[in-house]
Amino acid sequence: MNVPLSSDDRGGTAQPLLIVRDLKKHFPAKGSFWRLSRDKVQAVDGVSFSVAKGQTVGVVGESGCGKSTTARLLLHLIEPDAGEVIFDGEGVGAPGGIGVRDLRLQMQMVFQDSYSSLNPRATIADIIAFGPRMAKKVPSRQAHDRAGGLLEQVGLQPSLFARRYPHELSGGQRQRINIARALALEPRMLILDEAVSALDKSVEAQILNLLADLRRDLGLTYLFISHDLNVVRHVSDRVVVMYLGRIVEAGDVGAIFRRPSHPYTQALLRAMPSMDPDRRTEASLLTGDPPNPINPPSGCRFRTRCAFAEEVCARVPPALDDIAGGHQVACHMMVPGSGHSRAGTICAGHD
Amino acid sequence: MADVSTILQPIILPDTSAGAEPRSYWSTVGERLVHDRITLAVGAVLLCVILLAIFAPWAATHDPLQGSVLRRLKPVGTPGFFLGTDEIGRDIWSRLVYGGRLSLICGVTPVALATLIGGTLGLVAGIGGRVVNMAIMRVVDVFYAFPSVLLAIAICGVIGAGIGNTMLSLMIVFTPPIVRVTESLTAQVKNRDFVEAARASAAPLHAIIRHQILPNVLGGMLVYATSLVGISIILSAGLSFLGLGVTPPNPEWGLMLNALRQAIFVNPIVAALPGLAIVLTSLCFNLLSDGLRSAMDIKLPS
Amino acid sequence: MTETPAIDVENLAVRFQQRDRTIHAVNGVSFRLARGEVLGILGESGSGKTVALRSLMRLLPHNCGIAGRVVLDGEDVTAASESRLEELRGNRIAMIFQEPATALDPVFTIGQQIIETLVRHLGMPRRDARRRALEWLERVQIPSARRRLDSYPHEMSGGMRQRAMIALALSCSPTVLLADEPTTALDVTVQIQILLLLRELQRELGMAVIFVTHDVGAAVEVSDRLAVMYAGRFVETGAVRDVLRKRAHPYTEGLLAANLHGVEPGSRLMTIAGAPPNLAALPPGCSFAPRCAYALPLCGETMPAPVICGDGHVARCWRAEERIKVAA
Repeated sequence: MNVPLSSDDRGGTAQPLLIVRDLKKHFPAKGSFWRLSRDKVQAVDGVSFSVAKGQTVGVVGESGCGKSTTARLLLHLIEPDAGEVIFDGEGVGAPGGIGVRDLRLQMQMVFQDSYSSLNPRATIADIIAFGPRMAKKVPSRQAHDRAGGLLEQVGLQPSLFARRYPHELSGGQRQRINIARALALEPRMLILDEAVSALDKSVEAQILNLLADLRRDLGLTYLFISHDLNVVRHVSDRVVVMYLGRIVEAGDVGAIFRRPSHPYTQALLRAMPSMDPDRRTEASLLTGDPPNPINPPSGCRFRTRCAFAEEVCARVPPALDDIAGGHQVACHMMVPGSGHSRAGTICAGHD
Repeated sequence: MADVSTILQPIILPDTSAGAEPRSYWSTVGERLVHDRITLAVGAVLLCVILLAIFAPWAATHDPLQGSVLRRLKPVGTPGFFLGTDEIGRDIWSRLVYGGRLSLICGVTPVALATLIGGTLGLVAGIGGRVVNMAIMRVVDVFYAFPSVLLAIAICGVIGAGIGNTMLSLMIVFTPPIVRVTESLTAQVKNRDFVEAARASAAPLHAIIRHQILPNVLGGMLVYATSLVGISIILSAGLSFLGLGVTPPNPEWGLMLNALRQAIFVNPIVAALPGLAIVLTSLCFNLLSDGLRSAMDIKLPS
Repeated sequence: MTETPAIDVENLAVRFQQRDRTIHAVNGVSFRLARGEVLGILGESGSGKTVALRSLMRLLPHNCGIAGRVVLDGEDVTAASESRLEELRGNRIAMIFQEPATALDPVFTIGQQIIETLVRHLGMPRRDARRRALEWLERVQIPSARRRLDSYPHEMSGGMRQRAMIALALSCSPTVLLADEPTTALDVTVQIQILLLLRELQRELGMAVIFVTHDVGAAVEVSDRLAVMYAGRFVETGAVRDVLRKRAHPYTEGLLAANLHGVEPGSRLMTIAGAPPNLAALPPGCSFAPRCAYALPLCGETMPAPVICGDGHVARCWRAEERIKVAA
C-alpha cells in the first residue's frame, strides 16, 4: 500500500510502523493471606507481530486471550516482563531508541465506550484539550481551538458539543469524543480496544465509516482489537488470532477468513451465528468455556479443546510458522516432521 | 422512490432531554438538592443557626456573661428571658446564641483541617505504589485501635484544656477516617478508563491528579466530611462537658450542659436546652450529608 | 389458532413518570405466541424491548404505568394480585437475563436455588427436588453436574453460570420463557452453544420463548418469528425468513444493512441517519419518519396502520406494500 509518509517518519515505507517481539506479561495470581500464591496469570506469553504503515491489523480472540493486555503493554500502561516493542525502527525504552513519553505522542488508544472512558467532571472541550495542554504544553486557547476542529472532524458540531458533559451524550457521541481525544496529540497510530463493541449496530456502522475516513485523511495506522469477527473482517488488512496469551494464527484477512488453518480459528468462524434461517447452525465445534489463564495447559494451550490433539501437543508448544506467504499458524498439524500424525498432510484451509 | 444508497452526513444532535444548556455535574447536583425537601428544610435550619452565631451581638438579648443570683433558674417564658436563665442567672438564649459560635467553630474547624491533611495523605496513599500505601494506611490503622472519644479525651488530657487544644485533638481524631475514605475513593478512580487515557496521553502525573483524579474524589470527601461535622460538635461538647474543652465562663453548649446538670430537678426544660441545641445542629449536619450523598448519586442516563 | 396461545398480549403500553416528563417506553405492542413458538424481538437500545419483556412479568419499578392486556395460558394476568404473580413467576413464566452473575443469588449454591424453586412452586419433597435439580444441570450440559450442585455462582465460569441460570429458569417447565439478551455478554464460541441449547430445550419442552436481542444473528438462530421494535412499537413482524428477505419497513432495512454480514470488506457501510427519538417527546405520526429516507408528509402526521405484507407478515409503514412489490 502506498501511503504518503508522515513528517515524523523515520524508517521509510518498507519499515513496519510497529514490530512486537516476544512480548510477555505474567501477573501474580492472588494468594490467600497465609501463603503467597505461586500461580501466575499468564496473560501474554510470547506475542510477536508487526504492523505496516497505513495498515489495519485486527486482533481477535475471546475472554482471557490477552488482547487487551497486549494493547496496554504496547503503550507501557502496564510494564512488560519481557519482549521488545519497536516503533518505526526505534526500540521503545531501549538506549538510543524512543522513550515511552515520545511513543505515546505517536501512538494513542481509543477505549471502549463506557461511562468511565470520559472524565465525568470535565467538559468535552477540556477532555480533548487535556492531552495537548499537559503533554505538549500547548496554550489553553490554542488547545481548545484545536479541540473544536477535532470535534468537526469526528462529525460533531463544536458549538453544540464543546461545552457539554459526558453524561449528556449518547454512546455513539461519546465514542466520537474518544476518537477525537486520541487524535488530539496527532498520533501516527491508533490502538482501538473494542472501540465499537458497546454500540448499537447502526451506530457502529457510523463509527466504522468515520474510522475509515480518518485513516484515509490522516494517513493513520490502526491496531483494531475486537471480539467481533464481522467487524474485524470488515476493517482489517491483516488479522491476528489470539488464544490464552499466544498467537495461534496470523495472516491477510482473506486468508484467515477463507482458509482458516488453526483448529481454533476454524471453530471461531464456525461459531458465528448463521444469518440464514433455512441453514441454521446444527452443532458447535467447541464445548465448554475458554479456560482460565492461570496455569494454562502445557505445550499447545488449545489442546484441551482440540479434536486433533495428540501426545506431541502436550509436550511441545507449537511455534508460529509461516505456511504460505505471510500466513502463519502455530499448530503441529501444519508442520511436516513435527511428530503429529496428521503433520504435513494438511494444506492451508483444511477442514 | 428515494434511493437508499450510502449515508449522508448524519445530523447529530446532543441529547435534548437534558435541556438546551450544558449541565455540569455540580449544577445537576445543585438542582437535585433544591428539589429535596428534607435537605432544603435542614439547610434552612442550619442557615439560621449559622446566622444567629455570626450576628450574635445583635441576636442576643443580654450579655451572656452577666448573671444575677436573684434571677437564677427562671423557667422558659419569663418576660425578658424567654428561654429562662441558668444557675448563675445568665440568659440562656444569649448564651446559646454566643455558644453557637464556639460550637460551630469547634465543629467545623477540626474537620476542615483534617480534610486538608487527611485528604492529602489519602490521595498520596491511593496513587503511590504498594510501599507508600502500606506505610500510610498501617499508621492510620494504629489510630483506629482507639475509640474516637477516648482518643480525644486522652489527647486533651495530655495537652491540656482550652479551645485550641480541643480543636487540635479533634483534628487528630478525624484525620485517619478521612485518609481511609479518600484512599478508597482514589483507588477506585485511579482504575477508571479516563484516568488510563490521561496516562496514555503522556501528561505529567501532577496534571492527572489535579484534573482527572481530584475532581472525582472531592465529592465523596465532601459528603463524608459533612457527616463528621455533626460528630465533631458532639465530641467538642462532650470534651467541654468533661472539663477538657472550653473553659468557663465561656458559653459553650457542652459546658452549659455540665453546669446545668444540677438543675435538672429544679428546671428540667432549661437544663435540657443546650443538649437540644447540640442534637439539633448535629442532626442537621448529618441530614445535610445524607442529602448531599443522595443528590450526588446520579444514575447516568443510558 | 385452535389451541389457547401460550401468551397473548394486547396493546401493551408502559409509561415512566419522572418529575417533569413522561417517558413512553412501550407504545402499543400486541402479539400472540403459540406453544412451542419462538418470537425474536429485535431492537436497539431505547427501543423498549427490555421494558416490554419485564412488563410481562411485572418486574418494573413502581413509578411506571402499565396498560393493555396480558393473558398467560388463558389466564388474564394484567390485573393479577402480587401473590398470584409470585406463584406464576418462575413457575408458569420464567426469565433469563444478560448477566447471570446478577441474576443468581451469590450466597446460595446453584443446587439450593433450584431446589427452593421446585419446592416452592411444585411442592416437591426435598430429596426429589435435589434429584430433579441434578437432572436439570445435566440437561443443560454442565460438566460434573453432581459437584456443581453445591457450587456457588462465583465459582463457575461465565458460560456455566448462564447454563445454571437456564436450568433454574426451566426447572418448573414453564409455559413461557422470556430471554433478555442472554447471549450478549458471552464469547462467540460460548454464545453458539447457549443458542443451540436453548433451541434444543425449547423443542423438548414445547415452550414458547420470547427472545429479546440486538444481535440479528442470534435472533435468526433461535426464532421462528421476528418482531422488529422501534420507539416502543413493533414496526414489522412476521416469519423470520419473510422479515429478513422482504424488509418491508425501512427501519428493518436500515438495521439489517448495518449488519456486517455479507458486506464487502472495506466498503462504506450503510447507516441510518439521525438518532433514536426522545421517548419523552415522540414525534406525531410514525416515530421513524424523521430518519426515514422514504418518508412522505403523511408519515409525519399519522401513525401508519399495520399493513399486511404476506402470510402473517405485518409492517407499520404507509409505503410497505410498494416496497415489497419492488423488492420481490
